[in-house]
Amino acid sequence: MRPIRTFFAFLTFLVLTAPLVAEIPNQIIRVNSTVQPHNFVRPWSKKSPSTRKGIGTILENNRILISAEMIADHSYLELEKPGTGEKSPARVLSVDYSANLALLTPEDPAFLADFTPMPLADNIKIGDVLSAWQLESTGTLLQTDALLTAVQVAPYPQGDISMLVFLLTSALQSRDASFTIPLIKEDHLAGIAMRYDSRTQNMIAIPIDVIKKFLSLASQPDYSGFARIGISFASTRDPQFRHFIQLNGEYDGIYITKIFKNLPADRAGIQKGDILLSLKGFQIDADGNYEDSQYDKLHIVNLLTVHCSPGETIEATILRQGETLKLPITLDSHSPADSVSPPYLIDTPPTFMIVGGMIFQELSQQYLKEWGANWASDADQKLVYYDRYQDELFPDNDRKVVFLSQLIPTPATIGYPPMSQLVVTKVNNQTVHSLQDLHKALQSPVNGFHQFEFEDDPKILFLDPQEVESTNKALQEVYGVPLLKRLTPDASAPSTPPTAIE
Amino acid sequence: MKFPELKTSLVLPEPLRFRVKEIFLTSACIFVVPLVFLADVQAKSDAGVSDIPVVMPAVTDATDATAHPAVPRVEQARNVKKSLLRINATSQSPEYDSPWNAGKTSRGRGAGFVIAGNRVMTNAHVVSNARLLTVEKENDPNEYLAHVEHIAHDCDLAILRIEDPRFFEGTEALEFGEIPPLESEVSAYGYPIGGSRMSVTNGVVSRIDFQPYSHTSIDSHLTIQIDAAINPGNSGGPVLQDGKVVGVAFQGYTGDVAQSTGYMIPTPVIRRFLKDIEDGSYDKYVDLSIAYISLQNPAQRKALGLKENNYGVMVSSVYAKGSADGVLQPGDVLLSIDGHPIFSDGYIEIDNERIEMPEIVERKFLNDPLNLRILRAGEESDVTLTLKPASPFAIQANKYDVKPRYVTFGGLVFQPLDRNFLSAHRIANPRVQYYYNRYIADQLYLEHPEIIILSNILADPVNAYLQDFQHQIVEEINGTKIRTLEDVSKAFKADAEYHVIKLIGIGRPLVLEAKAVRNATPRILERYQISQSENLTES
Repeated sequence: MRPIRTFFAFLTFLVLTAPLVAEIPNQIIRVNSTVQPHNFVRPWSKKSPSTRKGIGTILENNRILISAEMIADHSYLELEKPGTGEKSPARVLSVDYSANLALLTPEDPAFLADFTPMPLADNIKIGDVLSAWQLESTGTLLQTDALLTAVQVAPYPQGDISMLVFLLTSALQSRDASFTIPLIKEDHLAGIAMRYDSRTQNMIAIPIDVIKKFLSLASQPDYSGFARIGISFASTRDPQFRHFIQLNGEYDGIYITKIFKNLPADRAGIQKGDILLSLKGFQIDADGNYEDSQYDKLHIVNLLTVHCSPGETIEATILRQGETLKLPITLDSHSPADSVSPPYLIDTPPTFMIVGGMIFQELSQQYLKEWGANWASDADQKLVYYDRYQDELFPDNDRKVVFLSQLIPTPATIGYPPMSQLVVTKVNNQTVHSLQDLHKALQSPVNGFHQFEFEDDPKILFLDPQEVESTNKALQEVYGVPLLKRLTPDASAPSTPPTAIE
Repeated sequence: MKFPELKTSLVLPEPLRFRVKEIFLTSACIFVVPLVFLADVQAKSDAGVSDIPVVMPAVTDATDATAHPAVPRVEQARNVKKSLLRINATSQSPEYDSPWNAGKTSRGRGAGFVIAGNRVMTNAHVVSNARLLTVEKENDPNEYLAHVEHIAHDCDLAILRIEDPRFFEGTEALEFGEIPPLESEVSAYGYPIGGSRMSVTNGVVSRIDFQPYSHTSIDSHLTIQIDAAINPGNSGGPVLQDGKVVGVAFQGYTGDVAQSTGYMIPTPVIRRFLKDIEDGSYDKYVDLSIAYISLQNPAQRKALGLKENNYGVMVSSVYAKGSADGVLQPGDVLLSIDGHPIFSDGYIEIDNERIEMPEIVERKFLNDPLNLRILRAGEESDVTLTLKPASPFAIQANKYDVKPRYVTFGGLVFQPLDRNFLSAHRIANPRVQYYYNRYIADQLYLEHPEIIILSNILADPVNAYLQDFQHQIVEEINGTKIRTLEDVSKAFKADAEYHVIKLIGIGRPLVLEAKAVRNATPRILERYQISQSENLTES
């Protein structure tokens, strides 16, 4: 036994001593997040918890920058010092899941006393070699080069917006705490890596430009998201199309294909079919790009998100029936939670209502995503269609889609076949556009019965109101359902963390 | 001996379809029985993911003769030998991704049998898309040419004609029996997994109910499940009891889904087919075109004003333009059908057998009347409707013996959406999926007798900027609403400087200059070897 133990001691010594020459960084910190998403199929419960570990960057004012995905649906957040392993709970200051960025602060304000804030980089250029900062298990720094190969506008992980991203190549090594990895250029923060493919060695990162805008927006009291304009457009490069719309050679610009109702472009009087020539003084080419001072040609989305702010009024030049017009547009902010079917519901418990075994919910993409990676083809096709084309189907954006998500067999539903994913139209002859509508309608049964109407077969179902009462009680005991309804997300358990996005 | 290459045909795909009932497609079929349909959706939602088993066509091992110790029916087998024949089919299936091509050929074989009137009965799927058919019989070295006389894809049956009178020398027509009782023994005859000699397998009647017919995938009819081994090559072969045909073997599962479950078409379906073709043509099944739900929930019964008995089902959907349109309404309670009281679970009693209500409609023909007793707003009344086919449902059916229809214009290819089209194209556009899957449920067929897809863009300078618009649905061409493929062809004949195509949900019109298209058309047709710029007919 003795020789072996000696051998181990020797090994330990090697491991401990060898990296002592390397420095333990004091500008980054481990962030451990215990996440527990809500279960949108059983909306009264949460899924089993799991842990995500990443590396946060220390910023001024006791703030730590991290990717928002790291902390999505967290139950507990913890900071861990790289060298000593000392831990402290943390809380969220601001989070924007669309932009995939979050700011944390330690519960103990003195916890970061021996750390230094990381300054933010300027003038990043394609061809720059950035350094990906990871931590060894000992707390020492592991740096890997990452070559910035391209800067472009691409969809962000939640899929609801597109913004600027850095594309890099790097032979990143596998270490723990790699959910978020800061990218550093000459001791300045240049970006945050959010995707890496070890096969192609391609990395996608959030550029410092987006980070700076997030920090500036988040420093204001009522942060609600990046700026938006509310249009869709098409290229005007096709010569036959140009002839048809009588767009002669001297103009570039883009063809407006859609105006989202009540969004900034609509309020400013821009119309479908207008040619958008410039925004905020920047000429727009036939593909929808402008000349960025730093990165050359970029999609105009970057002009709006990074170079404009919500509430700001910018000037648009448009061409309509051969005449150019200048229109002021006051931008507002991207607010996914206000959608008919929100693209995501994070840190937000699902709303639902149980009526005698029928479970009613409001449609969200978060619900559909419970069908896994192929949810768009595997989930109910009608609900997928409603989610996907909600702008066309519900242009006023003033309702939710209530549906019977499933039927728990109870004495009240005896004889009803199993049914699910049925969109509700009316209950007790009252139109139902939200769970509140449903709740209200259930106060007034018709001819002594609750009458439910659906878009699809079986179209009409009835329940006995008295039986619903007794069944609801029994159902809670038999099926262990703690809660019969949650009509708004705020009525959730008090543990829900505050979020800036609300 | 004559065609040695055919003797090696074990490697050829046999025409028997081994497919599972495809839940989503059958759900939209003729009679939606929500119990079946919704039960499966529920299973999906609980798991959070889809998990539908799919049975692929496959040749499985021959039956284990010891599994069903057969009672020797020497005489019956001897009789069947005089009637049974093997069908060799060379077929050609069109390519819906290159609709101008003739398609690829394949060979398969199945079974058939001689029936009264020197006719041969087999499955439709054995002879679908056939270009050349030959038949062989036991103890006869000759191979005879055969032709399809009648084919009913919706019930997977066909009648063949053999011109050579020598074929029928020594044959004996088989007669049809009735529905065999549960657990009674039956024998299946055919040529499973190839082979040139007749094979017999025995089993019992396991179940009698409605099942989807995989050949079209949307039709459901009365089906008898037997536990005799039914394998590829049994297709079209007779199943006998007491010397009479009680069914035609036609589909089954591969062993990894369900074992000892073979299916045969029972004689009510066969007799209906034979009666339908008596006038020289096949009119197809008729359909009520409604959906209904069972009425077993006490609150539901009370609210609808029903008595406390076991009768009545509720109409939930009445499909526009169908047989019941204008006669029935959602919310009506059906109490009896042609005098048969309807139980609250949707069953009726015929000849002391409980059977699903649609069976009454199943046995009827085009323009036959159907009497229903209904309860509407507390009042009972009798109504009569005239039965029609279920035409809008055809979009979701497998189609055979038809040529793909298409229009090409300036390299843009337009095709109607149907099941054949979808299985040839990989379409990611969720709008197309919606239009297909919800075509009947949301009655999209009213606005769109056909859904026209911009299916392909044959690259050429004239359409260089239009590649992004593939797989979108056409709404309008040159100001004309597009409701059929004929509309597309007609709209492009308009004399205009520009041809303007509007696609559903796309804010930018597609514009082709008439002059540019005129110049490009011969070039495109030649480069892509398109013999005809359009084909508007299926025949």
